[in-house]
Amino acid sequence: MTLLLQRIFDGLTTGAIYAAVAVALVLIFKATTLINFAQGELAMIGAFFGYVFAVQTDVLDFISEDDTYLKTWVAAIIAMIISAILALIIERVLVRPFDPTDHLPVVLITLGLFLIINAMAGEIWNYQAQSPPMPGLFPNNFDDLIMVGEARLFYDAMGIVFTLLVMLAILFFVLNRTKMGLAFRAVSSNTESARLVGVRTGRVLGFGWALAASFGTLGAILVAPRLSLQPNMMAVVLIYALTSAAVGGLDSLGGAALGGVIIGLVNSVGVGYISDWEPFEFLRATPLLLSLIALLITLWFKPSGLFGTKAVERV
Amino acid sequence: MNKPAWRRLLALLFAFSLVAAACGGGDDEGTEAGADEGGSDTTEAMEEETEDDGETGGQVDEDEAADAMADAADAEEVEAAADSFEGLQEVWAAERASIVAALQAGEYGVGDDGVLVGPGGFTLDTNACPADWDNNEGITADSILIGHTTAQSGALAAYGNIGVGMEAYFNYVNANGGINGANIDITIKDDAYVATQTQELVNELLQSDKPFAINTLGSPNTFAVYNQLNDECVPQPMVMTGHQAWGDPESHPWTTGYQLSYATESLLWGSWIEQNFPDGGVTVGALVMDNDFGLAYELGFADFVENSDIIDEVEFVRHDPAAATLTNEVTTIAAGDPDIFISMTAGNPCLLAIQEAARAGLLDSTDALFTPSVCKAVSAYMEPAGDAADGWYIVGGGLKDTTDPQWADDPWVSFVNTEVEAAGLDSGISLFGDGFHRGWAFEQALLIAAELDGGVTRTNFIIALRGMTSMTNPGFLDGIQFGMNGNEDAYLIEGSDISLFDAGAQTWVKEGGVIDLAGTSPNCNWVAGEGC
Repeated sequence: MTLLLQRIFDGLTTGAIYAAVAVALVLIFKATTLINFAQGELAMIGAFFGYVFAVQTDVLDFISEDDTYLKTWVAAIIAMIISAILALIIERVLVRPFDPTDHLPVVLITLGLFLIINAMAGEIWNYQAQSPPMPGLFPNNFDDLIMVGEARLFYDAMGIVFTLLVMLAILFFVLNRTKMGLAFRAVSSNTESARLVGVRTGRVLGFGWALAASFGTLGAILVAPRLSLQPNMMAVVLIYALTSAAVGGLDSLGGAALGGVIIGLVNSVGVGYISDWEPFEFLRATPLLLSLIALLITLWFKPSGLFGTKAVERV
Repeated sequence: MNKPAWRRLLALLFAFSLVAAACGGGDDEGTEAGADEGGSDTTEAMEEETEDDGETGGQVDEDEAADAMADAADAEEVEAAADSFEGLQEVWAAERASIVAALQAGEYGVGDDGVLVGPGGFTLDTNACPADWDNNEGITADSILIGHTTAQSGALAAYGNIGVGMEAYFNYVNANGGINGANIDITIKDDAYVATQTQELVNELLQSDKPFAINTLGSPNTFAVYNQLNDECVPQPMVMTGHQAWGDPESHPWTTGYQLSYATESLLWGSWIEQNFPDGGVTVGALVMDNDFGLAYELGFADFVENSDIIDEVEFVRHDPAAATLTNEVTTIAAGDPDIFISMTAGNPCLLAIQEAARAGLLDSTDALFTPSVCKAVSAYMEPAGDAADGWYIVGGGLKDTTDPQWADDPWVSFVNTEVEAAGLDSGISLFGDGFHRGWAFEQALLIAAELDGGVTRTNFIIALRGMTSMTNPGFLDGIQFGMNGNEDAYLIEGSDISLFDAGAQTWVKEGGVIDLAGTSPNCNWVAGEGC
């Protein structure tokens, strides 16, 4: 029972990590029907921006050293703003000039960005894990935990899940209760029609990129102490995040978050118990396989994902 | 096509592409490719061995290791060879002169029959080399070109720093006269630790750059090309991996290892456990990177446990080399409540293993935790883990980590750190220092080869390397012997320290003296499915 509970806690924690990036992927997809393969790397470089302000420079030294978490949160907010500006520039300079209905060039650009951002981060910060490590937004020492029975539930794990829920609430508010959100939904529904009724689609798409980058950055800063801050920290997360988004529905924010949790649980509980059975022991070294089987099963019954918009065609 | 249809198509496309990536990518792919090169699948073969509990070999004798460990516990500190960098240079010059004299006295070299005869019964038939093979390939009066494949991207990209450090050391050597006036040049190619890419890059090097030797990083990557390089008579010296297979002077004479072999390291873990827990009943949980590298540890340790009366049970939990987290794997190990935890991984997972072990409570619940020798770098893997790194043991292979403060005044380490900074690099990165250590070994072998008849050639380099019977490698602890002797001793490093990490001082604290196993490792003609 303890092991089951521990694996559920593990699954929820890693699931929240996948969900944070999956939500950012869905934001871009909703606006453009494109997958931004550079999403994870944008989040990673955003985390490095946060590291610069939290650790590498003295810009925030006016905040008392006792307020470690406050300093990290301020650094995170600054990093989110910088990431949003960077994403706006990328969208304006590298994405917008291309025909939005022709997906291939833009997908190739995001793949190129993936490589460029990764290499740039490696060149600037090296591929070695940063030391001192990225401070946490929540207490993250190995004794910062509560025991539930004999299972260990860490404060930072709860913090990651809590922050994810707050992120989702803010996104729902922005998209459903603001003018920009209305415009975003209009573009998401039908770009051409939105343009015809006067929505400035370029700005709205830029807004989508900025929002995705800033929330992705927050997600990366949240998990950096666990994954260790280094340029490849988000590369594998991106694969799981893509799987999560596809399971939940590529155009559903809540679905992506839920997809992340499902994939997290599949990895911890599913792989954990199935691999105890000797013929399936190999799953421990290839945990992605079970996630992808879960994805295939989902798409078999729900081709748009669990919460994705069902495809309807006029006959 | 309208949006919903697009979404469905994209979603399915994703699923299939991701399945394809999961089934065919990464290290497994590399390993298979490497095995294809050798005619069989190395990883698969190893797995078969695990099931059969067969001997994999390549390890020193268990009793010999136990005796050496017992001797080390009471051994006195070995005195440093010199207390200044200039003094070290004098020591090296004298050692080289002695080696050159011995090689010249033995009249080693390629005879009229085309057979190279070297020290320690070493022979190599150059008639078997390709018709267009050139003993002077990559060597001119001005330049000696080395090709190097390494990981500069991907999960193990940090190890790419070794090559950068090595290049910085070569630049220092070149600025100070080179090898009799010839610069040591190095061409570095990024294989991202993917063995298929290593194969492509090695082919590219052989066809375009035409270096005199090729150095590779990683067990799967080295396996991927070692048959080819030996068939083509291209030196593959001092590869950056500790698999026991590199000690095979008869079947793979052009390939040599450098560091402590994983087989010996895993045996020393076992010997340490037996000496410290004589009452027996010990259970071990091991986290294993799922590739040739991790499996070399797993097989070595499994062999030891098979014959052990002290270790009752070991659970190996393998992990994806590209895993983002190790939470699930370590939870599985912790559920078994082992007495000892051993991490058999590399790269960033070294750090993740330490952090996750602490989170899972293993730091408190186990009697000892071991991190592998490839994770010794203080700044890369121990310091970022904070207090979670405190009290970890290591069979450290005798390496001096240049970011460990205990070596700040060591003449070699302070020279390395000064030159690393002078090269515009960060001396806080351990693996640059490791590159200097390895670069030094290349330089010494080249300097010895330059003194032999015919100067630096591929064959003279191999004679020099395999005849470098004993030198003071400044990158290793005093007392660690560095040398080979033809077929009689095919491993450069066979000794080790056992150290405990002090997170407060951020330093490795050596327990006892060095364990001296020089010349005791049996050669290893690695055969897939059979071991050595």
